[in-house]
Amino acid sequence: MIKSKHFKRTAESTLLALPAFIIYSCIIIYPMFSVFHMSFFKWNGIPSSPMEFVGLNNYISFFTDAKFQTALFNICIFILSGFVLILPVSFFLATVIQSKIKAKRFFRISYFVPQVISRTAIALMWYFLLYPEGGPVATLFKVIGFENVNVNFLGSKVWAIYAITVINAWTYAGFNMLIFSSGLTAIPNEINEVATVDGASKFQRLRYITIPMLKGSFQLFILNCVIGSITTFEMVYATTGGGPGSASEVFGTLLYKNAFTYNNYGYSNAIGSFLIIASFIISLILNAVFSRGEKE
Amino acid sequence: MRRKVLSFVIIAAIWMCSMMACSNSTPDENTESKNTENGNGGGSTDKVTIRILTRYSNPDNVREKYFMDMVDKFNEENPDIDLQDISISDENSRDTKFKTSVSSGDPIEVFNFLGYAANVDYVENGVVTDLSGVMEEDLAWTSHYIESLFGPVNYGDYGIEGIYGIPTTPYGVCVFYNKAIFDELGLELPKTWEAIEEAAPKLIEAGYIPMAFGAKDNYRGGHFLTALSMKKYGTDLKDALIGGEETWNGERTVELISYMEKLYSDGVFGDNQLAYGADGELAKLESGEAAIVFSGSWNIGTINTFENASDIVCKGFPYFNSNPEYKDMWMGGPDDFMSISSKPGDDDYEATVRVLKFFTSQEYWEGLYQAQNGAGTYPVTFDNVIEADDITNQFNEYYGNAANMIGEIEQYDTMASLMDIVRTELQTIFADDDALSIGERIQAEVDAYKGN
Repeated sequence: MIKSKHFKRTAESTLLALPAFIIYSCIIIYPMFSVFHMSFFKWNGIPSSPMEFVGLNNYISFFTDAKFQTALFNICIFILSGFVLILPVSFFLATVIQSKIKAKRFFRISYFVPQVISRTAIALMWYFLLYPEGGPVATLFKVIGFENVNVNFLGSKVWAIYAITVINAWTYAGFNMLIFSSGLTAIPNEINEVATVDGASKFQRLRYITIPMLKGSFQLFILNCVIGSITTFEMVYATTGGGPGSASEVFGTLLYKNAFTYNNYGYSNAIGSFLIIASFIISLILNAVFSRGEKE
Repeated sequence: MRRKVLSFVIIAAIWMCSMMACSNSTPDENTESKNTENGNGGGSTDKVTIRILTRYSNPDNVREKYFMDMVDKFNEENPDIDLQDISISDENSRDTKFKTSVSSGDPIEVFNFLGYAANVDYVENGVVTDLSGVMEEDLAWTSHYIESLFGPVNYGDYGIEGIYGIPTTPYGVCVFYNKAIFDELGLELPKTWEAIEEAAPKLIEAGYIPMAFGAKDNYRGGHFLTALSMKKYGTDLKDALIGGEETWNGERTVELISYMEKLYSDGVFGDNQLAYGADGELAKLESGEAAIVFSGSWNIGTINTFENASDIVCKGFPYFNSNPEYKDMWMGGPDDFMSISSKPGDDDYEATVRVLKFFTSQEYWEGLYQAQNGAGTYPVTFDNVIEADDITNQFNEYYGNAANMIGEIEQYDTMASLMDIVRTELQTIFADDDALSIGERIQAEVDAYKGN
């Protein structure tokens, strides 16, 4: 009797969840396996053209390509910029909008505005800001006495990727501000009040109360930062296109170019498969690290 | 009991919604729908929807504005066809749109096709339709076309019969000089590279950019290398590179890239080349910052609208004193072609051919000829010649004497990615990369392609 009831409940639950699972499979799972399947073939993107099975050749070509190393380096720069630029700035902004400052709502909206602007518009705006002949940044450099400094950041093989990370940080600081802000809101005021009564300084409250209790927010930030950096595409493509040369290539731009410029769909699917697997593994590792921290 | 009935109703409703959501047509069904009575996915039973993809989407450009106006005119005159203009100016974006449509099984019906060997895959696999039958049925349609322009869409060398596109505007790479600057400094217009190198220090000292180079658009490097190659080696280097007798890191190619590097390091191209593109070059010509701009006939119409247009003089791409035998060798030819993907028997084939004929008709070109007041180049000859502007006459004076003309070298290779690779690598000249490294990286890509 009990087993029968349990079976019925399980059957009902399964049937209710099945449509969503089917849709999810159609939209997410099937395309993923299709990408993975196609990564073992050489194909020029024309439906009537035969797909030639090449085994692991696409993966071998990708991992031995000099551009893979360049893209990997650039992704590391992106991840590093997340911790060096985005994390402190967005945390600071979160504390600002959580404070008793006047016009809090104005600051909250202002800092979030970059999130609602299209990436192409942001790239165009920063292109003009960084224009080396008469642009605001170039003019500022002149005014403060650095006339001889080459301010063509987006046109420099060395500095292009760093310039893009600054633009990226400007774009995403507001979004991450909200993540930290919601975390700060969840900290009960009483804890801080008790700590203040006990004589804890602002720094001590930040270090021993606020930061530990923001663990969930940090976890979310780190996951977004790492996965977002690995899969980044729009900002790089809209600013430099991966150039000059291949100096600012990332995996996303390599995938795009191989598919839509070079007609090398199998190879680009190999890059796509790599991105999916890498993102999955990194998510597992990060979740495991944070879960272990919780248990301790 | 009530709970069971409620559960059943909820489950059934969710299933029905799911099945409705999943029943949208797939790309294969979209392709098949071309053969339905309603044509290509058109919502109305009265109209056939035809999409046209070109690079003509800038209303500030005379030629492009004319095209856009003609789209409106076609729609007015053909109420049974819904012509959707999905054109986009940027070359890469245009190509991406086209390739995406092909990969999804729903190729755009009328499109700019680049032709040449680099695109033979699309012809071999039936994406591009053979037009020779239509041309034979209607000889008057292409009777005024310049026959040599059909070369890049004739794939006889690959064992494929037929003609796969109708030429659009032919082009020639040339240079535009701001004569006022040279007059101010008491200099003659330099027609050779040796003369340009001699004049450059004086121009730089006077605060001018000797020759603006908008390297942000990577095709500028590709064009420059091919044009330089024609003046230094004629068609010899191109034939050797495509035939495999010479490599991209070979002596002659590296010599050409080194020469570009020398011009860059001597300041001939000014500063910050990677900060601006082809539009920036024209802006510098118009503002008087640049003494020379190397460009092409496609910009004659735009330059004629400059305030200082009367100061602008057009001449052929500079040649080398040391190689006068190649003085009249040009980079140029048909810019691209208007082609179709619809096949005889498809329900939208007749409508597609009507669109194609409209935009490649003698009337279309005569209208453009009028709109541009005789400026620019055309794939057809005209019975009534308009007195052209000075810049067009200057261009034609050189163009008409061309001994030979080729498109960009990479277009002659079946390696589809070669053009972007060469253009992208040449950009690194302006990031202080050396010629041999550039040549080696290009050749490494060629070797990897041939090894796969």
